[in-house]
Amino acid sequence: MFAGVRERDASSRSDLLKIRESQALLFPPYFFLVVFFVLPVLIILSLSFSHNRDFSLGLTLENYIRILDPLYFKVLLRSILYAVIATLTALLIGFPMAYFISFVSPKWKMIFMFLILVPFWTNFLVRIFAWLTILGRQGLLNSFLIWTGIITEPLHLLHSGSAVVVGLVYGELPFMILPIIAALDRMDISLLEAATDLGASRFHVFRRIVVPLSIPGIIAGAIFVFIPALGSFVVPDILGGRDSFMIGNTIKNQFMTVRDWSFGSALSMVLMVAVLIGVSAYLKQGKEQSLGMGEYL
Amino acid sequence: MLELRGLTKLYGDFSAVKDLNLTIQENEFFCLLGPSGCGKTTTLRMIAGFEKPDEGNIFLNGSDLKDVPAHKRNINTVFQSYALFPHLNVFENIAFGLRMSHVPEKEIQDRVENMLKTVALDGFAQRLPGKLSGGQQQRVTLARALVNEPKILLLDEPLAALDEKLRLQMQVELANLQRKVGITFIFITHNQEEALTMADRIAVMENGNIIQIGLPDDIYLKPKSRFVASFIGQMNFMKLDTLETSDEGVQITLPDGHVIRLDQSVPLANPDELRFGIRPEQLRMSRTAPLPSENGLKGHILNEVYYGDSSIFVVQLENESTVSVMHQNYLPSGNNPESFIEGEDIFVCWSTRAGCLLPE
Repeated sequence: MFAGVRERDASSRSDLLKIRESQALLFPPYFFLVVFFVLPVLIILSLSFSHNRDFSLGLTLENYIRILDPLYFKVLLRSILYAVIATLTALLIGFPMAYFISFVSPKWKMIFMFLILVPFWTNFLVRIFAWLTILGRQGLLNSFLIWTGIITEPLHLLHSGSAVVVGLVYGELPFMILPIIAALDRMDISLLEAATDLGASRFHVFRRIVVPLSIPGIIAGAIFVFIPALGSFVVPDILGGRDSFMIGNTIKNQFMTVRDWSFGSALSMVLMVAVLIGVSAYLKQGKEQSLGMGEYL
Repeated sequence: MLELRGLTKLYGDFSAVKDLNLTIQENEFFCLLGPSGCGKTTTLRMIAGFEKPDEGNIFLNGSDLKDVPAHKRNINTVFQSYALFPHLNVFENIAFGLRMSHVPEKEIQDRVENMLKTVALDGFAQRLPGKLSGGQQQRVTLARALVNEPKILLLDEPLAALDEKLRLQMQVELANLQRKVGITFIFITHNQEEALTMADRIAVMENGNIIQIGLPDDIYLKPKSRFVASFIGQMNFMKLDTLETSDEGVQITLPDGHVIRLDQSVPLANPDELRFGIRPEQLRMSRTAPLPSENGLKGHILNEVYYGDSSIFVVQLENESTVSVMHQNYLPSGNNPESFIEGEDIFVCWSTRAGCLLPE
């Protein structure tokens, strides 16, 4: 009898140990978050309120006031515009692709998914440089258009806003396609049959069932495309011109060239807050429209 | 009236449905019964228009449905998985078909509300399907199909996902509903009890074809083959040695030499290809010798399986084969029925009019 009690005691102690062990398992992710996310953000935040790295002169708002200068404010607005256009374009291209891929046979689906991921094997910089040879004065696109006789003089494509948007769409497209495929895959095929059964034509099945049910995927994809596009500096550096650089370029310049870390930090903070406000508003709206979006984020 | 003529569907080398012929009358509650893989779902999907038959035709009131796409057929389906649209509330789910056929908004309101009352879901119009119980979802699916007043309603194992109690309740409700709305129901199931309780007529399917079609009691009492007999209910089978016709019926000699009588006219056939079949409830156990109007075989009780209202006794006969005998545990008269215990030696008796001969 006593042996039994002791046994139970021991087992509850080992239960406690197990709980402590499982809590210990949570330590690495917390550690990671603190060291690689919270601390850097705090550093940037404090830098943004200092006189160019010199805390001895006290706190200041001068860096934030400087952002209101039309020179920088215009760049911020332009970046948002480019990112929005890139996101919408990626959606227009990505949705049909995802729709197609999610309805082919499993074997072909694997092949297409693989093809979407293949570009990641090559350095992003190299891939963006490749677009120089496509969009250049004597590039592939111009040569082709002249060959077909649509134009006689080469078009000026490079170093423009549109070249930047093309580069952004190219770079971020997979992040739009993959969550939409995930959303479409989760959709029960019998829903499409049920809609057909109730008299819906193919168009109506698409419009009333497929699109609403893929909204969680679209929202996730849009966020995955918008955020990196907004902060991008490689694409505008290579494909953009004097009038199409983005906020990412400005921030990079403050850190790397001008060495004004405080102003660079303030710009980063503004960008971060803008993204946070934009995305949470978007998510809130999305939640009202559809269900279970959390599973995609 | 729905007619299926020579319907065939192949998947590669495998024929899911083979040369199937069937006529279903208007307002009939028709049941396609069979084990999974017998082709019943494929047949249903061809009627709905989700699958194209490789051969044969489907006629609805005389017109061929060959070139009518699924969304233009006046046939609706209740899916096994319910397939309710998760982003639309109950009202919009039910209104879906009406909106697709451009019914005026006012009429949609009225018809959907009427339908909600019919399936006892008034007050649930604004709920999303995910917030409903299984039985409620089931009724929304029914309402969504019935509100379109289809010529035919196809039901693909609609009760399979419900628990036992709810299923029994829905069986009664479905049968009542069918009578009320007066629409042809074609119901497919692998559950014999569902088929027997609800259907006007039953077709039993095996390997892509119908092997017996008839009224529920016909199928239960006069199964045409061993497959039908053991698929619907339980049946004991005995091998035959010889078969002799007499004035009243037949005399059967069992392999161990015992002779039993069957007072039915049966078509003559080779006894090797036949089995004598009898259901557990047609047998009784007795401590005394069988009556003159009965057959009787000696045996001893191996064990009892208790079901509450009745028990199934497994009895080993002298020839080492076993039979299942049903025994009522309570009598309506209030008298206690004779009780038997495991290991006891008894007679298994049955009327000479009971039982049947089935092809092997």
